[in-house]
Amino acid sequence: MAFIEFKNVIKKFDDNNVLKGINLKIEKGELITLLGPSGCGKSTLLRCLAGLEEVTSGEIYLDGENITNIQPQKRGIGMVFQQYSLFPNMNVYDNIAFPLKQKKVSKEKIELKVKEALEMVDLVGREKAYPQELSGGQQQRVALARSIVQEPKVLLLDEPLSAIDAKLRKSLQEKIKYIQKELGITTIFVTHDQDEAMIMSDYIHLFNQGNIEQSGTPVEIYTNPKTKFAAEFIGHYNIIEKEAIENIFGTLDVNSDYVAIRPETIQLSKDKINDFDICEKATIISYLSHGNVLRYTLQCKGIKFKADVLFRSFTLYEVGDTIYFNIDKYNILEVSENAII
Amino acid sequence: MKNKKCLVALIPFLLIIVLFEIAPLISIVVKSFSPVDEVGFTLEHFVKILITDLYLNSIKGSLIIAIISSIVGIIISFFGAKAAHSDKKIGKVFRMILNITSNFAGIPLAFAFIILLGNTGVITLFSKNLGFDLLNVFDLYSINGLILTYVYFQIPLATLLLLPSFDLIKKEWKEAVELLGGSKFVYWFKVVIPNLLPSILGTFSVLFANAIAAYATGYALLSSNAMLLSVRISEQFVGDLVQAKEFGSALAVVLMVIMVIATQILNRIQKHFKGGIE
Amino acid sequence: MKKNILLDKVIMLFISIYLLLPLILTFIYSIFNEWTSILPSGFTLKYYIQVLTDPLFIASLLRSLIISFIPVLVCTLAMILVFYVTTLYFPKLERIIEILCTIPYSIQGIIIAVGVLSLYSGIGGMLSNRFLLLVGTYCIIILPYVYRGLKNSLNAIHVHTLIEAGQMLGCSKPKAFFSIILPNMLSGIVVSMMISISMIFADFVIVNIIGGSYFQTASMYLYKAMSKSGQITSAIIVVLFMTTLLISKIVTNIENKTKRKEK
Repeated sequence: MAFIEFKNVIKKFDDNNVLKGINLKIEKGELITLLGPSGCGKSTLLRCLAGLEEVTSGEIYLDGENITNIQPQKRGIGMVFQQYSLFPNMNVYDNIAFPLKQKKVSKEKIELKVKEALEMVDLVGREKAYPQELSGGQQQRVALARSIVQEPKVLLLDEPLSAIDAKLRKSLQEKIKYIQKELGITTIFVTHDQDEAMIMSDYIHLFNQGNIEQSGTPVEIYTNPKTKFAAEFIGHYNIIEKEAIENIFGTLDVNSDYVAIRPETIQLSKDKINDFDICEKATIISYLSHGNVLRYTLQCKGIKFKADVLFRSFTLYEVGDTIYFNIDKYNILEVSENAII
Repeated sequence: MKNKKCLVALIPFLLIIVLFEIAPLISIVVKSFSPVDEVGFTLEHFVKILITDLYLNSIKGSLIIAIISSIVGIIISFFGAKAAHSDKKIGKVFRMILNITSNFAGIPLAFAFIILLGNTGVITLFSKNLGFDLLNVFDLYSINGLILTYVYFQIPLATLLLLPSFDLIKKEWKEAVELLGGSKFVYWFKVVIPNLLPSILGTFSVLFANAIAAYATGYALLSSNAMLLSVRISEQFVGDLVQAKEFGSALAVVLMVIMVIATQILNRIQKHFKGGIE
Repeated sequence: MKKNILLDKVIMLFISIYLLLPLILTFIYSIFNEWTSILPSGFTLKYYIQVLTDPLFIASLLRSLIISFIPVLVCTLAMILVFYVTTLYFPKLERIIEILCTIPYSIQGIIIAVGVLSLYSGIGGMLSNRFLLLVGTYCIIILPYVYRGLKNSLNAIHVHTLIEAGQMLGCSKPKAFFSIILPNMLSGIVVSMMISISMIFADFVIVNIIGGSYFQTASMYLYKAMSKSGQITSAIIVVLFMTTLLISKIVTNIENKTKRKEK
């Protein structure tokens, strides 16, 4: 049996079916991400594992034990919330020491462990500060230290960085990854930010409306989305009806109603070239600069495409320019309408 | 549900509520319709109230005093609260004074006014020395006197209640009005006051409830001569007159009805002005 | 702009004078023998000595203090338990609790007192004990303020997240409520206790109706003194006023001490 197993977990809130039968296995020591838009059920699944929500039906196993009906405080699971979880009436030291005090750990041992935890999150020296005096990033680091100090079997992170400034997010992502590798704790990370998911995890489970739409490594999901939803969610895929695209490019060896094309697989050239399967004339409609990447919107035979070009040279195509649209057929991916269950 | 065990924690609260809020209220209503020392249904007490001058005048007196003192109180407090917001330091001292004097009500207040404006009061005597007799113009032991004392204890209460709402005024409003060509008059009457109206009306209702049921101040000044509904009510239960539980309950019901009507009127006005403000 | 601020300062000054004048005058009245001309004459502290050495006064003062504290403690504890239930387990009960706790706002003290007296004074047994009736009635009078105070402190913190965090750190829901939430509500609790204690201490109408001759508090002693001597009355008023200030000082000190201990 895997370290964590969800067996046909269903969760309903009144009539709303939020989790529609999740079957999921997670191996020990992994850092996996539950990814998806708001309301897809990822946080709910996390909270079911934590014990903060009761499952409507199904079972959850942790380290071989059926924990479905065990209270949260007895599951040996640590959790970092999005915000407001630090106890305002206690300083940093007391917050981190709190779980150890619950376990009646000796004062000396508490001192030692809290010191270790503070070192791990780079907050040595701030023991006496109160949560209100800390920045958002510092607060989350304290929350993290507080969760790991109790040496949990599993660490859950529920969108811990969503309320943090974009710039700070990077360093915190790295810190979380580092701590996870150092301590080897099985970690489940929930986020709606696909960039974050790709940076953080060994493995991603993409959620859509209460089901797992696709699972895989970041690279797998990114380069090979199986459904329209997955392609729309991860990256900036162009999603076009198969019929429409076959009208302009000829028949494709594709069985689905839709195809997906990654913007960076489209090559733009000034003149006609023969390196690719398809080379058609197109017009530049607009472009946006993303710093190192230029995203062009172009129209090729009536269909709009987004193409990403690494900004290497100074030659920018201008709006209205006629250029050539090049792509290989293997980069036109088959995506189904609905998830294949 | 397995959590039902914790409902035990509600028992102390329920005990207090049932014994001292619900049961007494029901008892009052029931008694007001009961004939004296019997079981039954009668309207005789209410009829008596409506035809006896003493009670009608007391009701009128309570209403007049409550309405006037609340209106005067809220106007003064409005300016006081507004003033407190302009200067932080002095505002803090002002707030402290309000807090201290908000407890000065009832008998101590009545007495202080007697010292000041009574027949041998300091100001009365002072005015006599200046050549004119205050007593010709103002009698503390009348409805005017009561209104004056009531206004005194309304001010700290109302100002303290209104202070937080002035925090809600955003300076962007003033800037927006200026940019759109409005005058100060427009700013105050078309923007600020409508926005503050919910809290102003809420405060007014607190003042009114406070004043209509107030007892100690009036009783200290005029004892049983006070034309106040609250004095009439307590007379039926304590004091020299014979106990009249049922009649007293009827009077209490009248007081309750007045309050409910007042709250309803104020709520309706509030809703009219609230519009989309939450 | 400057003119406005000056006007505001003047307004605050006038209101302050109006509010402080009666207080100051009462004090002056209590330390002089007579005041028939413009200035009082005959400085003396004899009225204070008379009051403070009167055993009846001391007894009534003690009764006032006791009756001010007990209902506040009882009511606060009862409400804490109520919020424990509604916060953790039955949030839907909130609405009913709110209605029950707001009724005393509109049904002022005198009505409740009259209702309690007429209902229970004839019945024998525990419920005819005037002290008990007084405590119970005062509990209802201060109920809206205790409710508001507790409710506001709960709203100021993210109760559910804190409880869930507590659970994920090894404590049960009840333990989380009492060891995490409650300490964070402390300042709100203290403020509402303060308001309640002041209200009860200054009350006359309720204790006059329910306490009557069975339980004489300082305010009743004061009323009796009014017909006897003006100076004694003002001395009593000043003493009572000072007591109220003292109580608030002590309470705020305790509040600050608890805050300091946490630091």
